[in-house]
Amino acid sequence: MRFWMVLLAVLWLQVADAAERIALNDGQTVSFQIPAGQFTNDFYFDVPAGVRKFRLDLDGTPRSNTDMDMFVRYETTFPDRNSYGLLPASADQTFLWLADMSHFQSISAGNQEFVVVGEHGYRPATPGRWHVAIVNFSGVPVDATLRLELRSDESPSPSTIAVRFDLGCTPFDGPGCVCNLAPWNANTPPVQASGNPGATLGEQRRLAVLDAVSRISAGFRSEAPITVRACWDELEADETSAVLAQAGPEGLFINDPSLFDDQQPGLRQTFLPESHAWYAAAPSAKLAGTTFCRIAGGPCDSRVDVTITFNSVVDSNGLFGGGFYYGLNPPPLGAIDFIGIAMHEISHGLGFLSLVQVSDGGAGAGSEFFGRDDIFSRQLVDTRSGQPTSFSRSSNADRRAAMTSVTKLQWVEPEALASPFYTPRGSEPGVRIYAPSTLRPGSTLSHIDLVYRGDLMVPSSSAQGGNRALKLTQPMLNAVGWRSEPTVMPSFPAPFVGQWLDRDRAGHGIDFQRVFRTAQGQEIYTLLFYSYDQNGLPEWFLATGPLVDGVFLADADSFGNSLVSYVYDGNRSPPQRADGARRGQVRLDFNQALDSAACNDGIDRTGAEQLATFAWSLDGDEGNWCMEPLIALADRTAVDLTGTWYGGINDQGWGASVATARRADDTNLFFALLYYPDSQGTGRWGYALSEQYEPGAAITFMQRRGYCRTCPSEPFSDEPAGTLVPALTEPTQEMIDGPNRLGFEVQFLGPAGGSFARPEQTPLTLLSAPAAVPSGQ
Amino acid sequence: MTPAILLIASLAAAPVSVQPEFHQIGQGPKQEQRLDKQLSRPSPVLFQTRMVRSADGRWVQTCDSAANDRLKSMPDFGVHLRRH
Repeated sequence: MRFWMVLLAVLWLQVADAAERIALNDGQTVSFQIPAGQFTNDFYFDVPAGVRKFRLDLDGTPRSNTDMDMFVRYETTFPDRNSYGLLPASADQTFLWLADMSHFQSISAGNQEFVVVGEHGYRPATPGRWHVAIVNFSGVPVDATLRLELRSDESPSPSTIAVRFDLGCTPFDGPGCVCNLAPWNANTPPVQASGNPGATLGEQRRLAVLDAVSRISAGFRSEAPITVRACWDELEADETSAVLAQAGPEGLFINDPSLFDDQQPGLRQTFLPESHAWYAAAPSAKLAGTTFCRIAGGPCDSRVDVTITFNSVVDSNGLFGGGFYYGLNPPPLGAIDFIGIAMHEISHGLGFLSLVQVSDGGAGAGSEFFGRDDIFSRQLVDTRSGQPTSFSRSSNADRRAAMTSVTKLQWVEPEALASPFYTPRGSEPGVRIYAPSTLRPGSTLSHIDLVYRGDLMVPSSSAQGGNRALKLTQPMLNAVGWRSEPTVMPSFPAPFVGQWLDRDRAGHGIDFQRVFRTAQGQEIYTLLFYSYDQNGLPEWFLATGPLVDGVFLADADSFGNSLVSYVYDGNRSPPQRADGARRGQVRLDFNQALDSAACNDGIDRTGAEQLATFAWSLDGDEGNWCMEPLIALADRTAVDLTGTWYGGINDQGWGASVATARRADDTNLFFALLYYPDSQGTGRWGYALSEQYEPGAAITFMQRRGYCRTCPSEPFSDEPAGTLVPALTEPTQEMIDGPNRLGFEVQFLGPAGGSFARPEQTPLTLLSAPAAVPSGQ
Repeated sequence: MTPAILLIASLAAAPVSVQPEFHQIGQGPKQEQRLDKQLSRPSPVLFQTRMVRSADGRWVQTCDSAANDRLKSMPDFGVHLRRH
């Protein structure tokens, strides 16, 4: 792909984007045949005011060996092509491209997909236009139907938690899984179980589990059905210790594009309210308005949100008296209360858990799962210093200390503090979390303290005391994704455009610029990453793509790269072409960067006006940096020359990133990064800095020798490498015959050598949109 | 209901045939191949309610955790797409 010509392709798209053609109407089903290996973005529907919920159902035949997916988003359309004017090169890339732009997804392995959007998700059923993309990944045509229903009178729905007594181990369980279903169907006579009308022991067991989930679900609302798989196994049991039951979520989700895997960015999960935090499967499905299999992928007949396994030994070996108490009425003192235990463990599976490591060894106590927060831990503060500090933003060592502080780890989310089951304790700011002086894996952190004896989520079912009410558990589960109050569609303010840097990676940086808005409303940006190679020599990379919900989703070029290196050859036209031998991917995320892994690296970033997570991969290396603007908004000049400049379409292959700033003495600072090729055509850069900018005055051009992107930070050195004569006066875009001029003569000081020059009075124009005057300035 | 009303009702419920514009996804999947997507990550822990005999011989119930062995058999985190 040609350097800067990228933008021509983008501009072309303003005309070429096809408008959607097919409106979906309430209560109407449309039918169509979708060819093998194709997608459509032709569908839209309008949600009028007063609608509180909508549901989309996609169905297709034949059922076997076919796979359709559905993606839904609000306001802007799914484009036909990316900002290079390209369709994704493969089915995999098509999936990633559409999924990254969607707000809701239904992507199971089959072709019965649905999404229900109510008024209490992170993205509620907001009036306005919604858009639908449908993909047929299978190798045969599919006869499809798509149906829309709008509802103004029923939202939110009471949640339903179904229990599967018939689903054993599945391929998703991996080797070693045991899920014995026979005890659910035991035909032996019923046991003493007050209030349980089961005619057999098996039926008593099933009724007891159903009673447990009924008690939990009564307090929640969900448009998506939640499913618990119930199993038995011969778990550990002897004369001194026995596991009674175990449970956990069947999956975790996170909205974190910076969580690269195999050099690829993490996929956005935009139905999750908070970024960079893990959510359990069940609340994720609730927030996504569809089932776990439809947000995770896989066959829907074998995926569940939670699995609970009971120990079959308890009822059989006589060590534990009469075994489990299956009564629906309250348990007698000392009974092994099956329902209470089930409620407690299922609540862990529904999201009442932290993923912070609570044992030493491995990454160490206090370390986070993949270095990311979990939504449970986000509600906690560490009060050891007297001043509450965020548990999630703390270091591993501080988290470990807080987890053994006995009384100093506190849950401060307001709904729990407003609960009638919360009693303030002295100066403690919240609900005390179980943090005994010795780490107790599984008990520490993921329970409330024993002072709440009689609550469901204390770490001892003896202390639970036969309680089967949620009490504090309900508001605490609400905070991890179960809240059901109406919400407002989030908005994302435009980010700062200009140069950004990570104060821990000085000398490297990015120039992030808005270029234009497409006819369909997408804002297209470019990102220029200036950095150093393994030898400390300057090099740069370019990315272009839309800013979607506060995330720069750089598009893939014809080589599949979203962070692209270019090679210059003056003997061809255009001279600059993408280097397919180099592999690069990038994401820039402005959402909740303060809580991101990149910005929780122990570096003091006091004074940063904004933060963004800059995640990149290049030729096998990866980085995840915390960026902030180089120039403060208050220092931006009245005539702001900030932007990416170039010599027009007839003189491509080089350019400049300019930043200007107002100084205290009313002089203007001028800083320009010049991008140019060495003798081999490799992209290089250097800079020119003037503390007192005078258009037309010569400035010394400097080449910097730095440290490689993955090397430890170290001092860099500058060396004069030429002269720059800027005469930029007006920030005008795509006006090569305007007043702006630039001349330069530079050398590359490296093994490749080479020189590059343009005479004074060479026309220059902004490639990017002129910097907007910040609000309040 | 009269046949006329039934006819009207069935027509109202009948799907409306439409012809969207389609776009090729790459080279398209081969016959009988499907895209296997996996967007969730297995939990690293399971929670367990355990009975432990105390020093005085009583049974005490606690909740702790065990490593989730399934993690060992699952791929690393990420969006996993593969053909099968």
